[in-house]
Parts: sequence; structure tokens; C-alpha cells
Amino acid sequence: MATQEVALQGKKELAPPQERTEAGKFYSPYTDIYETSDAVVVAMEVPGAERSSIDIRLDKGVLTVTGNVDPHRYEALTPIYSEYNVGNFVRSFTLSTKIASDAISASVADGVLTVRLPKAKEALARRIEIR
Amino acid sequence: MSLEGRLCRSLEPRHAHGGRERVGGEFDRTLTLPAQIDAAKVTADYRDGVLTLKLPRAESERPRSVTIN
Repeated sequence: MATQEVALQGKKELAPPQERTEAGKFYSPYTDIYETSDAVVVAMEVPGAERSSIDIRLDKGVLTVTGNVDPHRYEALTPIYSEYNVGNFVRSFTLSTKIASDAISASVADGVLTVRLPKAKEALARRIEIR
Repeated sequence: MSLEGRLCRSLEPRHAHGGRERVGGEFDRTLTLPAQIDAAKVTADYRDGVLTLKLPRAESERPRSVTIN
């Protein structure tokens, strides 16, 4: 297998930062979106965010995902070198496809959140027979 | 200290649509540590995609207090 050079991505801090009452920085998670014949699949990198802190909402066609990273894990440590930057995640997408909102499912593994948004029946492609 | 791993990104490229921002591939990283480490006591914890290595200082590196007689 050929060696593939992977360029390092810096974390994208939310810009312009929205004013928030919560403490801590917010980052925009790197995301891939796929479309299959029956669903839209969103894969999002949220390392450090615990399953219980991840909030997924779909409201008026806007999918919003937030995830909080527990800063207490790092509190007792004195940093001597830092490039990772601990912070929360938030990102919103406007969905162009009608989604069957009661059938949305999500899973998180190894810091990657996968949200599966099944298309609503009326948005599914249909083959029309010519009579 | 040296570290190696692989990023797996399961793709459905035939259906790619919208954003594609995530990268996949192998990674490795080598760090020079600022202190002598007790290699026998190194522990690693992997949780939610974050790897935490705890590298205890060797006994010889620890601060010690000397009592004046």
C-alpha cells in the first residue's frame, strides 16, 4: 500500500464566536456527510465528548449537534506543551432533504459521532413505470 | 517516546454529497520528553477518541527534601 501523507488539520474555532453563557471554547467539528438512497449520514469528529453530553436536535430542517468535553479531566494537570486545545463542539446544518424525524438514529464510537437521518417517504426516489 | 496508530474512515464514496472534511490514514508521533521516565510504570487510557498516556517521572527526577543535621 502506498504511503499517503495526511495533512494535519488544526481545530477550527467557532468564528465569529457566538456569545454564550457557558464557559469554555467552542470548536466546529470536522464533518463528512453522505447520502444513500434512503438516508443522509453525518459523521462528525468529537473526540473527548462523552456520549451523555452529546445533544442532537432537528428543528425546522436544521440539525444542530453540540458536545461538551469535561474539563475536569485536565484540571489537575499543569500544561507544559499544548496544541490540542480542549473545548466543546457545536455545529448546525440546514438539511435540504425531508427527514423522517422519528426514525433518526445516532451512535458514537472512538470519538466519531454518526447520525443517520432516514429520508421521509415523500423524499425517496421513485421509479415510474410508463404505461 | 513514539506512538503509532491508524485513522479509519469508513467511506461511502459512491454516495458522497455535501462536506468531506475528515481525513483518514495512519499516524505516528514521536515526542522527546523533558524528564527521565519510569518506563515500567507508564499507563495508557483511551476514551472517546482521546488517548491519555501517564508517564511517571523516574525516582531520580523527583524533588527531594534534604534535612540539615
